[in-house]
Amino acid sequence: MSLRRAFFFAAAGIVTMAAVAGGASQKRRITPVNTPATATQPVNLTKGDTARLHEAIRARSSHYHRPDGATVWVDTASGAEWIDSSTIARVPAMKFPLLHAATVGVNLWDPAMRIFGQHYGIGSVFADLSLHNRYFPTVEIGLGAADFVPDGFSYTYRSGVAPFFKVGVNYNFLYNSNPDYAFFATARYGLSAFGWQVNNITLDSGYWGVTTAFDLPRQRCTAGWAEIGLGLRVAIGNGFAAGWTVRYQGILHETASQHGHPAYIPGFGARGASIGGSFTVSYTIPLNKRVVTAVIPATEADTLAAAVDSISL
Amino acid sequence: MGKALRISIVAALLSAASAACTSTGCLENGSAIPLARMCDSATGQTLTLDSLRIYGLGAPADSSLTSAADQVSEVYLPVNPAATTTAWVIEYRRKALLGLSDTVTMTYEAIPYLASDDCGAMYAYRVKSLAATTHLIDSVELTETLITNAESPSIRIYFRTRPAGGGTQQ
Repeated sequence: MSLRRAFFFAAAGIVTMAAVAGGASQKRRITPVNTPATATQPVNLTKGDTARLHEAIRARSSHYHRPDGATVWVDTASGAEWIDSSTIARVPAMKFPLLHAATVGVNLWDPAMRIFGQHYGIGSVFADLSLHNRYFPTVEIGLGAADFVPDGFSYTYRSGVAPFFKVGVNYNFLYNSNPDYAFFATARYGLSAFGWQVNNITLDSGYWGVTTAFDLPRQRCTAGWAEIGLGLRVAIGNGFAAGWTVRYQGILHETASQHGHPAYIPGFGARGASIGGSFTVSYTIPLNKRVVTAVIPATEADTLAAAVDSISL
Repeated sequence: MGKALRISIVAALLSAASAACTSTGCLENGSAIPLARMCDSATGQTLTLDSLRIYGLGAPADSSLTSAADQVSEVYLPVNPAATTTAWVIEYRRKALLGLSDTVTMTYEAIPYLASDDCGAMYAYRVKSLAATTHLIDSVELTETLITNAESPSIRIYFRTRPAGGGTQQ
């Protein structure tokens, strides 16, 4: 009986050991070490292991340097070329220096429009400072005057010579391009203190059968207005440039008067004119001629870097 | 360079043209003239009246501003620029009211006024007082003390439309 029991336990132990031995033999199945994949790829290369990938590519490639300093690798097997993104010069946000240039000029709009029949305005001078060829803080000082008989009326509107001032900024959309060309948005605040009067007003009241003649006495007015617009400036040689601006304008504030509103505001123009313009001739003085070299547009650099990162064996 | 200059010159011409075409014409009256509105004294609502003849007191020739056949809810009352007081007479032409009239009198100061480049220069009138007789008029109200060429009513004339015992007068 005990022998039978001993045989039973011995058989069970053998079966158990056989089962354990069988499982172990499955896990220990050996994968061949030298396959086509392991022959061409570094062992344990992960998706993000680009440094080793690039190293492997470089090992079988030659390279040369572009004039801008970037390193170009050439796969000697396929002839494919790519650029080492680490050697690409990153584009500075601003190509031109902070203090790039100063410009002084004259606005010839009113003198030119007087040739075509405008009865008001004298002219103005302005100065701006080029910051990175992108922002142009601007000041403008000018004189205005008016003396005219409006169409369809017999009275004379007069506004003596008075100064006006404008401050504002231009924003150059082409700030990293050739500074000989500028396409900009403008914003201004204008202010003028001036006098105005109306003479020889004749009022014919047909109903009452009376005709009266009178003057509107001299009034003092201070007016402020805002302008926004678009403009162009093009170099015409030897530091000179011509510019044009179209602007939309509106009066912000003015001195109230029981005698009504002035018909003309120096620097603003005719009261009802919501559209204005300027024609300028200016001279630019370079302040800093340093221009960042070896510049590659950011989009190109980013594209090349992405291309290198995507290369795999 | 040449192309940019051409584009710039076109832009300049367009801007000059747009700047030259900003006149909209006179959108209000060509002179300062008060607009009077007829109102019901009981409700304050605008009335439409007929059988009225309205004229300026002392105006020459045919001075009637309305005819009896007109339906009147608002009327312009021309001001004498050569005087400091103007009166307008409202005659009631209905049979039962023949011979009855009211007079509205305004005292003012004429002020030289430049409305705009399109509407021109004129007199504005700063009203000092406004009064009326009260046969059928209950009261008068001044809504603007400075009468300009604006087209909004500056005078309201309130009529009694119902007698004390009921019924409609006009």
